[in-house]
Amino acid sequence: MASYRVVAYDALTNLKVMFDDSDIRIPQIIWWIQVISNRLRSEDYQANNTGNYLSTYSSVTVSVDANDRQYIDLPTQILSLANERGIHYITYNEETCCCAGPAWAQVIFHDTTPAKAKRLYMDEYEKPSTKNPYFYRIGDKVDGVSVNRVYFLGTECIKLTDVEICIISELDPSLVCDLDDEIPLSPELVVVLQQELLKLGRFIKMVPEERVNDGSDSSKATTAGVPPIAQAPQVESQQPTE
Amino acid sequence: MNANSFVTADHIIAEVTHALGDQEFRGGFTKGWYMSRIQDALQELSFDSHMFKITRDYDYPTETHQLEMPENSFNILEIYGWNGACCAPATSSVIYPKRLFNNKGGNGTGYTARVKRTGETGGNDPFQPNYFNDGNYSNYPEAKYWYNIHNGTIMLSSNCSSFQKIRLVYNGIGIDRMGDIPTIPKFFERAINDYIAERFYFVKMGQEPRMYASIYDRASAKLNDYVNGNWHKAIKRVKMMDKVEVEAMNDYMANPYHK
Repeated sequence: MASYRVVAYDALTNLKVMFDDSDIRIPQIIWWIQVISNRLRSEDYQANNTGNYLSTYSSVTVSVDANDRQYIDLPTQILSLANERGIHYITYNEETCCCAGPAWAQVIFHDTTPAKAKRLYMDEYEKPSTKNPYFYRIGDKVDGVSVNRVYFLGTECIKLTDVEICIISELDPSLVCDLDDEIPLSPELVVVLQQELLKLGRFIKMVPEERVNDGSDSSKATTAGVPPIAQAPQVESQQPTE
Repeated sequence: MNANSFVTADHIIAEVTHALGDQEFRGGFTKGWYMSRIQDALQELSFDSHMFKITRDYDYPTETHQLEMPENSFNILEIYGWNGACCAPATSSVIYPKRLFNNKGGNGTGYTARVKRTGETGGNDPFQPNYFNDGNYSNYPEAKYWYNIHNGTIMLSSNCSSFQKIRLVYNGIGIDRMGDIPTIPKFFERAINDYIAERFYFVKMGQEPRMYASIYDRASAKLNDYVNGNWHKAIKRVKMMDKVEVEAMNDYMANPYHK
């Protein structure tokens, strides 16, 4: 696997921006690496169903909100994939939660959405229950407060203390502390990452530079018949005369 | 059903989800959905083949002379009244079906029927002779106990109250209550697998017609083809069972004393 340092300096070299006062610098390259890596991780996971990007949290505390709904705060931001595949699984141990059943009888929470959940209650076999629980995600706001939660259905009748969760996390561009850390990406995708970096860098370098700040007011109307906006006196006229 | 060989619902789900590429249950179909389809399939196979034969005993309904048919039952096959200790009938008698018998209300002995027990209370019916008042049938053995069924209610003649228990033998659909885990005879395994696949692609076709229409057609043919389809194979298998009855009938027909 490649470290951030290797890939970032390789990109700087290839883009020929190794000089100190270059517009493209290491923090910007790191940002690009993270953004592009997120997309590559998402594509790789969906195409190959690899476990390379899975992270497990064996005991995430379950809370109850003001409406008596059980939820957990996601330990980290997850990839946003179809049918909440960013959450690989959520499970709880029946014995831990004081339900009947052997210790190994792990129950998997199925994904749903608040709107789809209504249909589930219409079928005896799909109805949410402790044996057949569901989760849905609220990733933006609850009563105006920003949240990143997963709510549960079917476990209302038991005291759920904690759950185990396995997720495909998103890389946070602001959290690269050490350039010598490995980029969490499959090795065969590093070449794709490099190509994408160069593509992005080349595009940025093609953007024409706005070289001069002439200080003039570009809001001046040019349409005939429209009176010009009142102008401040020219700078020269304010210069003290000797 | 002359078989004692079953597979679990999980066994079916394990195979079919793999075949459909939905091992993670993340394609919009939950495990409950698969379980529900298994029950659908079993139910349809039961209606087509009458494979589940169930016996159940009930206390006699002394107040109403009526019993509700058991949940998820159809096609009452036999009814007996019996007396004795729990689950050990000492004396018993067949309760016969009687056409057009009706004791709706079920408050005792009153009932209506096209042909009543005797003509005394209803007078002679000129079209349907009563048993005792018609000279030709004076010795005709009348059914002693009888029942009829209206809309899932078994109505019993009041003299059935001489029994403590009523035994029903009927066809079921493989579960007692909706939501129970179904029990699946092995010879239905292939048919149920194909049934779920057909339902799966039917749903998918509704979502993405162009992508799934042709796959659905194949899945449907694999299930329903009259020659090679697994549904008809399953029904045929049920009909080929109970060979002991066929053999007994052949013996009977071949016996010279019965010629």
